[in-house]
Amino acid sequence: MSEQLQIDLEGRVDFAPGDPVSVAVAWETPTPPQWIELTLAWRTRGRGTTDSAVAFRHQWEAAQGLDAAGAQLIDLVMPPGPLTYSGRLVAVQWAFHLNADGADAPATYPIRLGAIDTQSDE
Amino acid sequence: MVLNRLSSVKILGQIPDDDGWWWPVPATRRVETSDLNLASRERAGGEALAGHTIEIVTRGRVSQVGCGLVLLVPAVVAGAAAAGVIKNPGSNLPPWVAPAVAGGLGLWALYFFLGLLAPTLRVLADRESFDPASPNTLAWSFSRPPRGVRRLRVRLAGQERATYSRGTDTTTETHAFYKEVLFDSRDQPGAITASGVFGFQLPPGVMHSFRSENNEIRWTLEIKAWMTLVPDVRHNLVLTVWPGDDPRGYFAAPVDDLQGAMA
Repeated sequence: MSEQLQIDLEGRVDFAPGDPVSVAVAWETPTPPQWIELTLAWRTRGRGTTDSAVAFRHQWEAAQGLDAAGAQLIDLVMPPGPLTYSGRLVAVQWAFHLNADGADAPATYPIRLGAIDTQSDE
Repeated sequence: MVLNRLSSVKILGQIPDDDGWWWPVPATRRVETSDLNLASRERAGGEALAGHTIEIVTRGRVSQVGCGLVLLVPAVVAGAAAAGVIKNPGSNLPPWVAPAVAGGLGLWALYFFLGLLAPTLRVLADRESFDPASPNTLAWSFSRPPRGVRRLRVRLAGQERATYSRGTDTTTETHAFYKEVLFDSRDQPGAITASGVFGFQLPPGVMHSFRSENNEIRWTLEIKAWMTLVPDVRHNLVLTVWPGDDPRGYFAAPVDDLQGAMA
């Protein structure tokens, strides 16, 4: 868990495809970072080998005047899928990730996309 | 507008053919005029299947090449056996063994060969993806009167598929999380007609079709026709299940618009 990076969605974790979202990011690093990157990605969990993909990526760079501490707000629209799912062998999980040059660790903010029921056996 | 805003997502990584693209290739194909006419007739006077897709053909389990091969095997065995018996009269085998083996193989081959005579079964869909919570319609059509069909069953199945490697072995585990019989002629005596229509609806909230490199949610239409005297006809068709419009529509913005969205 990062002490220097933070993602703020006002506590919201449930989203529907197409929802507009304002993501606030903040950082406080020992030196001004060369870059800060926010991604929204899904990955699979469960019995199979993990698959993952990035649905959204935005990078702020030093040329934009990054200080050692600061905050940014970015608007995006949630992608259509794949929807969050938790099954017996396969699960699909979504999360925002924030990383920065020189930060102690990435920050992660798990979310749920869509409203798929957890499947039960017949 | 939502779709325009989503265009910024596309240019940043999640587009068809990207590594992370997760939308399965639909099993259905674009409809042709002749298909629409056929589908219209098959709906027994109802409205034509008005959508854009149609498809799904089942055949017997063996191809013509397969039949040729299995017919060849007993012929070769019989020939070799006969030659052996002639050249080696002192063999311990009773003289009836070679013809019996060849005859058994021949009957087995003939059984599969008759599978070619089984009617083909077409299942017609009026859409490319199926929306849970919305009524869906499928039509079926045998290529000729299904006299030898004892029973016809169409079953919908949802399955998780997870692939992993251990050493040099690759294993795929499966788990069926949904099964529903959509149509079974056993429940409806006299229901096996040359063509027909049936409706079905998936419960809302089920997981949609999904496919990545090692993980998959697969929806399948399992069709089986039990035949008299010939091999059964069976075919599994992979369906695309998605709540709402095809998600590829989210990415339909022209490239110029995408660049504008990025500016």
